[in-house]
Amino acid sequence: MKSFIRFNLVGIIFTLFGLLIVFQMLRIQEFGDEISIDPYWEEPVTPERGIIYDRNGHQLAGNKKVYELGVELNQVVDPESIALEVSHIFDMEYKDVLALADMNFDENSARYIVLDDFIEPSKITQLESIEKQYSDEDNNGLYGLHWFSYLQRSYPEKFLAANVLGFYSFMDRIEGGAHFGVEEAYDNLLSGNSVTVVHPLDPSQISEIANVPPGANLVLTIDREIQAMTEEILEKAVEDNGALSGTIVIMDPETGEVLSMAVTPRIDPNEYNKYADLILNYNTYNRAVDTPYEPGSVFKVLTMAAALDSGSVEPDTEFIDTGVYTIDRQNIYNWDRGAWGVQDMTTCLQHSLNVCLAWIAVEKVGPSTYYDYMSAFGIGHRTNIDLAGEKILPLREPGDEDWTMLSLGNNSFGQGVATTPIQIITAISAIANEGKMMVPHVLKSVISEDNIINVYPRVSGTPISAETAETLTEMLANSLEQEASIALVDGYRVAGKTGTAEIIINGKYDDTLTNASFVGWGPVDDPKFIVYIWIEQPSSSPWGSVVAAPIFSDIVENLVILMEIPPDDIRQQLYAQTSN
Amino acid sequence: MQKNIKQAFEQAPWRIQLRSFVWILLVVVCFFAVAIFNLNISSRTYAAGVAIQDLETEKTNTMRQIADLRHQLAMIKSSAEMEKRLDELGYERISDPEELVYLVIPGYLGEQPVYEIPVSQKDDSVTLIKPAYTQSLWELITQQTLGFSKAPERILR
Repeated sequence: MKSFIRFNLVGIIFTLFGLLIVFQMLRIQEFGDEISIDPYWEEPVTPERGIIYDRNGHQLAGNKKVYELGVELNQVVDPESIALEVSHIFDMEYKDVLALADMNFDENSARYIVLDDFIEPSKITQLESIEKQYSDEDNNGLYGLHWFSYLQRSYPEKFLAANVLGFYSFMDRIEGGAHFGVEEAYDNLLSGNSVTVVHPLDPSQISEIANVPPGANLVLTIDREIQAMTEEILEKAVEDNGALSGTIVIMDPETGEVLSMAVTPRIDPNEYNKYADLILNYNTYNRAVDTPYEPGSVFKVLTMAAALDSGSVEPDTEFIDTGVYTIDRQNIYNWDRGAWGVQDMTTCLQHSLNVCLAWIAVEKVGPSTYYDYMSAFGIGHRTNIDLAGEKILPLREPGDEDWTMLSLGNNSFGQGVATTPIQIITAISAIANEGKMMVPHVLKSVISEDNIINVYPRVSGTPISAETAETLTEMLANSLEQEASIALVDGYRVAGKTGTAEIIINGKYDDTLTNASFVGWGPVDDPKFIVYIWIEQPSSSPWGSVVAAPIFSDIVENLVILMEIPPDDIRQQLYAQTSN
Repeated sequence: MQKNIKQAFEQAPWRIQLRSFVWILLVVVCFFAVAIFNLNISSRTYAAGVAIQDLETEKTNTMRQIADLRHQLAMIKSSAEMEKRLDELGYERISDPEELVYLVIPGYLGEQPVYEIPVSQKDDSVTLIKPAYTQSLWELITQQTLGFSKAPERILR
């Protein structure tokens, strides 16, 4: 009897145990059935946008963590508490927050309401501490209040190189995109590839983890220190000269690397939304690439280059300047309306004689050869610099409807032709680089997933010979020295040319409004930099020799220090030492 | 006589009953063992899946934190901040290149920038479940057999 009871008891216990197991398995199965209708949910994941560095590794554009704060309306228990805490921490109106938190839940139209966006982490820390207090007191007053982090594009250097970088319109979280500059030009690399990640609702169904690689990082040719120096000098110059705007481009003529590209005015890309008027009204974001203008006398460098290279003139070719040159019954005068008498090619450049250069272009070089050379220098063509927004204006040439021989005369001294600063500096850099014109670029390297891909210099063209380049460089260096130009820099031999271009107002040239410019490079025996300066409508003086030339001197005095270029005599001594 | 032989080999009723009970108990125990094992594996699978989801969330948050720290470092080392600190420390700008002394240092390459390279993610996805958990027995045997037959080639390489 006892054993009968014992056996039955054991059987009952095992049966109960088995029933419990079966019950648990049925519960799991039921959970699986619940999610079998929509077993997965899809999440579009946007990778972290790539970082932009300067050539020395300083971050120019990156990402920072910010928060979104919102309420799930069907979870809100105490809207007054939410309104009280949120309005206090986030400096919002209590009644506004209360109105949002107290909205009725509607499955179709009102489920989740955003209270605030782009919130700094410090404020969320305050909110978290308050939430903890509520939690410790078992107070559910903040139920329904949620916050989550995401990344926002940031520019730690603010205004510095903003014209080069462009900006990302991060405030539009749905359709934000890249605009202007490097951000737009390399958007496909920086943004990476968005991926739709499939998350199973049943955790046991996870079989893969999708990795979403971040966007590529970019290293620019821009040197932050040189850029900062350039912008500081430019802003002071624009202010001192009462100018409308200013642009300075500094390039390495050997490689085409843009070391600095400064414009003023420019924006802070962190607050791009405040500058819509500035951009729209001026129709420009980066004058260096998107604003063609008549360059004036700096263009004479190209005219002389064409003349020397074609053998039309020699440096000592004589010209008798009578102060006027007539083409198609139209007179061309010098800048001072004066007659300069006997000149050679060097003094024609030194004194910037329009009459002499017009004579060279019309009677010595000729239209066909002249415009072939201009085309070879890239005038009228894009430089293909890797920045969004480059604009050009075509060069009127023989055969075009409104071209006349007078056009050739005017073009010879930089009027009647429109170029951007990047076009001019690229063309003239051929003279600083043994006749080779390099493609200007701001991208130095691309860094992505264990790879560093370097951008190598490319030759854009060889418009003139090395011999012509050397000859013309020597002429321009001599002309600066003979003029005792204020562009000269103690200890360094530089070559350069001033420019003063009249501006067309209401269809006529106004000699009171000018574009003052200067282009120069050095050291002459081994050029490491070329600088182009454009000051738009200075009110202090219309002349490039007065306004732009001293800016060149200021720039180069600082540039040689930042680039660690010793003075010429020391450099030659050091070279002699290392050679021995 | 046959009746006597038959009787000699009959088990006692209680033995027969006990034997039946033990067989039934054995089947039940086996069933329960399998069920417990299945439940154990399922619960561990779910727990692992939940842990993976949590770790994914943590990884995303950590990546965001890294990006933010990079941003903070860039702010501290920005051009304007560095200028301010230099002024506070009493540094002065070099205004005259004549003040500089140039030295030739053999092998000196100048400032070498350091760039952060993103973590390699060459595999598009990481498979969490080993083939052994999804293969059938036949596939496993086939794979092992083929793998065994290929082994000498690998050794020769």
